[in-house]
Amino acid sequence: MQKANSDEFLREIFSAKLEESDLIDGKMQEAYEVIRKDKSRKRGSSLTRFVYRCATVLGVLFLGIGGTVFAASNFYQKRMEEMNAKQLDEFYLNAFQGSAIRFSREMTEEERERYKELQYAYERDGKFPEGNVTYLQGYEDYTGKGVGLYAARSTLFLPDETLTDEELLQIIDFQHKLVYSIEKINAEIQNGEREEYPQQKFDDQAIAEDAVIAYEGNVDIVCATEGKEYIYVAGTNVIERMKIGESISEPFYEVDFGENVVVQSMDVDMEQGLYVLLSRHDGENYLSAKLVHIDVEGNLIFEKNLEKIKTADLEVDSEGRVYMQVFGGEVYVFDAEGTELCTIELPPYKDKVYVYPNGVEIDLSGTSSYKAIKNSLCRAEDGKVYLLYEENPWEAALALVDPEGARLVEVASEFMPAKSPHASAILKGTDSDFVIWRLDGVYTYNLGDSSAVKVMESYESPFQWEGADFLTLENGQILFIKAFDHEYDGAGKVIPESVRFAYISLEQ
Amino acid sequence: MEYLVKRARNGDAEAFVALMELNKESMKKVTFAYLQSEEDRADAISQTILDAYENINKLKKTAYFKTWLIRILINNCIDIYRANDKYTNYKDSPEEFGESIVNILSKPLEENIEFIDLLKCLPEDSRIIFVLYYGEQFTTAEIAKILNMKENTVKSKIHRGKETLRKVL
Repeated sequence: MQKANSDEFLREIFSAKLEESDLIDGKMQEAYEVIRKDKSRKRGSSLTRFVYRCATVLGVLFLGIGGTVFAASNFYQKRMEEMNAKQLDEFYLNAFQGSAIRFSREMTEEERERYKELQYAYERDGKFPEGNVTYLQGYEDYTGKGVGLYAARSTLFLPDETLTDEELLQIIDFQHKLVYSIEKINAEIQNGEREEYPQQKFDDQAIAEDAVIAYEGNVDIVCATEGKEYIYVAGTNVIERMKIGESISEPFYEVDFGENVVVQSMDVDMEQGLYVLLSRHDGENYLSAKLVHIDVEGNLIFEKNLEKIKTADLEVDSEGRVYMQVFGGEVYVFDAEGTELCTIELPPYKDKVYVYPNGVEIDLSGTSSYKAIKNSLCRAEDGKVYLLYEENPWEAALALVDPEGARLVEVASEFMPAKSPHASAILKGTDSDFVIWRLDGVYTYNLGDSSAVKVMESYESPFQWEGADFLTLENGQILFIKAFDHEYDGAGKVIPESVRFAYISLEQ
Repeated sequence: MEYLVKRARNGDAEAFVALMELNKESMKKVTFAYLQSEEDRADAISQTILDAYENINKLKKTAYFKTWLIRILINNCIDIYRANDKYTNYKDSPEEFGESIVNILSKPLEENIEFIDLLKCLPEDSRIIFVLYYGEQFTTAEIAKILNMKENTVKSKIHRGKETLRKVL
């Protein structure tokens, strides 16, 4: 019997012919008639378009706002259409960095209510702001007054004081213009009216900062991990290492796993040896994986083909056991020689019904959702491995992975200060048990504490947050690694043209 | 198909109609990923036909016709989805989701499992990707381009969808 999720089975089902639909056939015939009557191709009004509805992407593009959408008015349409092509491009270039826009603080309930009322007035009655959101060159430029956009970090700064109606209208105006410019530019690309998006200048400012080191080595870095003295960097088929703070890496280990291989994940063990998970692919799918153990000198200790795993995150505990979490799924535990010890499933969501912040309820019973978090495994100071996962959508929990009991032991629940759709990565801390990276900032957490503490805002980051990788170092610093101008290989791995490192000390 | 595209681009309405008929099945499947109502799906397809005809002379490379057509269709599906109540369109009710699983589990896998039942078992944001990947044989790179997302996001959504099916079925 075919497995229900096998490629062959899915191709068969998804390629099967659908039943005929008289309704669809009829509508298609109507469209054909319009075309046949209009061979001159000057159809104008005969081709009715759907009414443009604005800003339903508010919830996607702007975190923290539940966007109620009202029918667009003539006032609104006029205001949007008054933006000429140059203004659209400029707005897009200056305001949008390819990431969702975050607010520097949560809006209060009262502000949210007024926001909704004003949004209605903006869209239906043409109630527009007198001024505009201020553009900031850096977050230090925000004076605490008015609404300021730090576009390089996709952050809208809000004053501590209650937002005035004018400030709320400025936010609404900014959001709608940004959404309009993106949709307009998307449509133009789709219709072949322009080739590409306006060229955005990602992180130019950050790259110029002194704290940032440009990598000058030969590896197209797709994966990195830290040891006591070295940063290990891996490309598709080579692993090199470099002293902390340096910019050039030296050869450490040459991967021998055939063509089309990718270093998926690495971790340094207690003896400063390196465990590496290699995956081989055919350009579309991962085919097989191999676990490799290398000593501190770069000599192969063992390698072992894995049957169940093709790609995973990897972590090693103080006893040499290797933990691998298949992305989005179960945790496999192996002994130090690569023999499988157990498999641990993630628990189901705690709640049967979940209510998102925007009020939408979803039924979780019987459904399988995305419960895992990338970079979710971490060896703590006690030498044990912990797993960060979602106990409910947008709600992180922390569990000890118990290989002897083949189970997860929850050690922290509801400990992150606010729900976030963008959790996260967990790292071993130096002055705290854990460092947790989330889209809105960096947190530290100590076992037994009721909540994690934010120690860095995302807008303080040397790079645009999304797409960066993070390591924590023995000296307490956090190392941000970001690839720029990247492309993708056949298996979806990022092949960067340039990589930057930034060593940041966290304020505890 | 490229011959038809070239003819259509030069204003041949019948060639264009033939192209649409060739892609009818693909378009129907794509609309299922976004829209529940048959009427909405019919509207999305007919609007796409009109939009495509209006703009086909702007299509630069004939080889990209299908990708281009699907992008127009997805855009129209999203327009309709947005114009309706956002959460009645795209989200199946719990009852319907349960019904899909019952429909599947009540039959041996060798028997005909309805495309729609399987689609409803998938996470919403994976549905279009499954349709394009398994139904239309687009590569993950092509899907990434169509949906304007990173290729590894496409891959992870495929993986996630398969995991969902593994656990649900």
